[in-house]
Formats: sequence, structure tokens, C-alpha cells
Amino acid sequence: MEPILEVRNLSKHFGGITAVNNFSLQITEGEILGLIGPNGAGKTTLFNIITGFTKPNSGIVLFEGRNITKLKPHKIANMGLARTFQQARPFKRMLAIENVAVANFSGRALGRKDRGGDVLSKPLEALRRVNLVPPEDNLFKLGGEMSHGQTKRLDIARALVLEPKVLLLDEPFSGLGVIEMTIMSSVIQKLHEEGITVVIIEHKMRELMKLAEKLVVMNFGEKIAEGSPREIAENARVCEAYLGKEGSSLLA
Amino acid sequence: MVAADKLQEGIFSKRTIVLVLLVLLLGIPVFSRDFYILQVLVFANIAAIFGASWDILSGVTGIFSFGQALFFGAAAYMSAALNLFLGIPPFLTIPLGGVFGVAVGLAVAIPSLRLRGPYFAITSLIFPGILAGIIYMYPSITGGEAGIYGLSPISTDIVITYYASLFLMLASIFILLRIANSNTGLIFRSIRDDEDTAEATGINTTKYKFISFAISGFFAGIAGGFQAHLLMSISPFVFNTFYSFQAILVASLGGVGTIFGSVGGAYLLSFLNESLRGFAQFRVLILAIVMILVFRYLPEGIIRRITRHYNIRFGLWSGLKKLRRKN
Repeated sequence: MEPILEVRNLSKHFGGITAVNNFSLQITEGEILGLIGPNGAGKTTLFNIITGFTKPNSGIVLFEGRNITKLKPHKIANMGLARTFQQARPFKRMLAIENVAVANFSGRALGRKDRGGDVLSKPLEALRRVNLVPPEDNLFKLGGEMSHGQTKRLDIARALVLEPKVLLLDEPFSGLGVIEMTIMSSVIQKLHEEGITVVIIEHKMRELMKLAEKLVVMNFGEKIAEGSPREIAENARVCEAYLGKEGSSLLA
Repeated sequence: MVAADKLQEGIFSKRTIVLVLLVLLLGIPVFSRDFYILQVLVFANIAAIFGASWDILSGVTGIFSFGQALFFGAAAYMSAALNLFLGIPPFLTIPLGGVFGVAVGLAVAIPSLRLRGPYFAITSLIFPGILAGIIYMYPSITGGEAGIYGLSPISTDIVITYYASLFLMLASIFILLRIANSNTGLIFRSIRDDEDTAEATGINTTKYKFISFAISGFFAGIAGGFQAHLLMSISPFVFNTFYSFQAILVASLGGVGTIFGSVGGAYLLSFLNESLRGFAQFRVLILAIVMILVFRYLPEGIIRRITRHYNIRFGLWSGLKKLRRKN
């Protein structure tokens, strides 16, 4: 089957530092793929290249067979390739519902036929899908007033209004409490069941191992391993570079 | 602030307050036809438009500009030239000056795409100076340092001039309020809060920044054109940083990002300025102290503080209110 998202031989240098080095990856429609590796391995840079925020020095990004390497971020988002950022980035001085409603004015949403007259129904539905509503009070909180965990889900809700085919989540679990992590897990699981392709960068290995069907390990900008969570946990090279000696204990 | 506050209204309805203020402003010439008082109010009206034009760009869209005098001055010169050389009357040269402000706004938007935040703010500081330099270079056309004299007045009757400025101010503020609180305003505010997130949400931030510059340029431009005709002259002094800061002060005193705050800010600043005339050399010092106190204790702005229970929203807001009532 043709991959929905593919990167071929990507390289990116920042001055003398090579962030991504001849990196290739294929993502199959409908899967949850985990992207792991030590800090500075180039994971976020890879996300930034895929979503158009950073231009690579060489290599291409293909989305549904189309070369999107040189497109602007909003064009890529409007094709159905949405993302969140590592730090939750809400619109701080806007209400939660406004935060999400902005996506209603993206090219992708405006082009939709079933948009109807009610500009609030899609944002409301998105907030329900990420469990921010109910309680309805959350609708009228400012982005800057929400807890860290809530803003993480607010970012996902905003992306959902785009009705994305692929969702790139940059560390959705970072800084979350135990309960919030459970909520986040079930939210991502639900999106997966709805057929959205999800790519997750994450350091919280226990959560990721449960969710992901496939893991890709990066180190120094290169792919050092790819496989099922079990294969990765037992991979000697990955354990040495990232997981530590007891990698397989993460599967429990 | 409790979430519920944002949708609550104060004791008087918005309509009542707006009506009372409107009657007050319209009625002033009935009580006083004093040239000095009306002239001060005309300047306040111009300052209100100018402050609000800065507010839509910097307060609402978050593109902080120190060079708002560029639009004001460029349009003022254009209005002056159209009037003096082509004999076009003020009621046409002022909007045409606004159109020229749009062109200048779009030109300035280009560097803003690469220079973000403080970098653009500092760069914008020099734009008016560049244009002033060009004007000094060609004194035969531009009048050089002395400027251009002999423009048609708005009217020889100060009462008519007052009503013209009032109408222009009310119309400008109304339109800017509509924009700031429309769906386009929602996008402006999203760019202000986080440009990358807006871009990742499929918003063409470049396009909307251009739109914001164009709107800002237009309204700063009509303020500039009006002032040129009011003074019947124009000199390169309009490019002085003082004018750029006036826009910022007016908007900040009232409340950044509110648009209507600029009206209160402009009247307040004019009142302070005039009532401190007796203090001569201490005037600027006293003004500065007042401003420091305002920014220290009422950072959201005086007018915003007074009206904090009122919200003006045209776009999503009606839907939101319904939603609120349901819950």
C-alpha cells in the first residue's frame, strides 16, 4: 500500500550541527507511529520539516504522493496534515472556544461543504472529542487560564477542526499528571479508531509502548531502528542509545 | 477574572452608555461655540482615529509598530498634494490620502514578514525618518523643511469642522470595532497570541498581516489627511517620533486591543495636555508621571478598566452568548 506520508533522504544542518541526516520514513494510513530517541536526536526538527516550518537542506516530503517540501505551513495544514507543538501553545488571550474556532477559518474548513451556518458546532465537537467539554465552563476559560494538561488537549482540539488525515503530536504526555495521561491516552486511542493516522514524539515510554503499533528510533539525526514496540525494547542498539539496559521491562 | 464575568454586563446596558456619550458629543457645540475648546476636541478626534489605527495593527494583530507616523504623514502629504496641485476638495483628498496610507501600509508589511516582534518594532521606528529624509531632498516639490502651505480648510466654521471630525471619528471607530470583533478580528488575535500556532491551524498569516497593515494604514491616513486640512499646512514634523508615540499613548491609556479605548485615551490625553498648560515646563514631566502611574496600576488601560464588564463581539459572540444561556 502506498504510504500516506513519506520522507525521503531528509537532511538538515544548523551551522555545523546535523539535526537530521539522510532520514527516510514511510507512514501507513491509519497507524499510530511512535518516534523516540534521546534529546537532540532531531525528532522535533523532523516534525518541523514535515509541517513546513523548517526547510530541509536536501530530501523531500511526500503527503498522499504530493511533494510538499516547499509549501508553507498553512498550506500543508490545509491539506490535512495537522500538528501540535512540544510546548502547549494556546492563544492565551482568547477563550477556549475561540481558540478552537480559529481553525474554522482555515482554508480547509472554509472549503468544506458541510460547514453550514453554525461556526461553533465543529469547535464544540472537537472540544468534546478531547474531553475538555463537559464541563461547559471550560469553553469560556482563556487559553492562558487553563492548566498545562488542558492546553495540551486544546491544541489537539484545534487541530481536529481541520479534520486532519494525519496528526503529528509532539510530546503529548510531557508534564501531565497520572490522570491526565490516562485521558490523553484514551483521546489518542479514540482518534486512532476514527481512522486518523497519528505520529507521536514521546519520552514517556510506558504510555507510548501501549499506544504505538510501530516505533522508529532516532539518534544523531539518523534512524537507528524501526519495528514493533517489542522488537524495539529488545534491540541492543536502542537500549544502549536511549532506553537503557532494562528496555524490555517497559513492555510490562 | 471568573469565566462568567466575560459575558456579564454592567449596570447600564451598552446601548444606554453609547447613546448618552453620543448625545454628549453631538451637543457640545450647543453649550459652547468657543473656538479653543472645539479645536482641542477636533484634535482629540483625530488622535482617537490615529490611536485606533495603531491599535488594530499592534493591539489586535500584535505587530508592534513604533512608526505609525509614517502612514499619518505620508497620507497627509498625499492629501496636501492632491488638494494643492490638482484642486481636489478635502472631502475627497482625505479618503484618497487613506488609500495612499493603504499602499504605504502594504509596503511596510513586507519587512514585517521577516522581522518579528521587537525586531520589527525597532525597524519601524526608522521608516518615518526615511520618508522625512526624502521630503528634505526634494524641496522644490515637497516644500522641504518649511512644508506646504495654503491647503483648503475643512470648513471656515469651527462648528462644522467639529462635526466633520466627530463624524469621521465615530465612523472610523465603528468600522474598526466591527473588524476587530469580527471573524477576521479573531484571526488577527490568533496571530497576536501565537503566529506559529495560527499558521499550523491553516491560517494564511501572511495574508492577514497584509490586511491588518492595509486597514491600519487607511485609518492612520485619513487622520493625517484631516489634520493637514485642519492646519491648512503640512511639514516634515508629522514624521516626528512624537506622532508615533502619540498613537501608542492614546491607545495604551484607553486600553490596548479594545479600539474604543483610543477614544477615551485621546480625550483624556487632550484634557491633560490642555489643563496642564499653566505648568509650562513641568507639563511633560507631569504627563509622564501620570502615564507611569496608569501603566503601573491600570496596565489594561483606564477605559478598559471602567468597561471591563462589557464586551463587544460581532462575530462568534452572538453564538457564544446563546451557548452560555443554554448551560
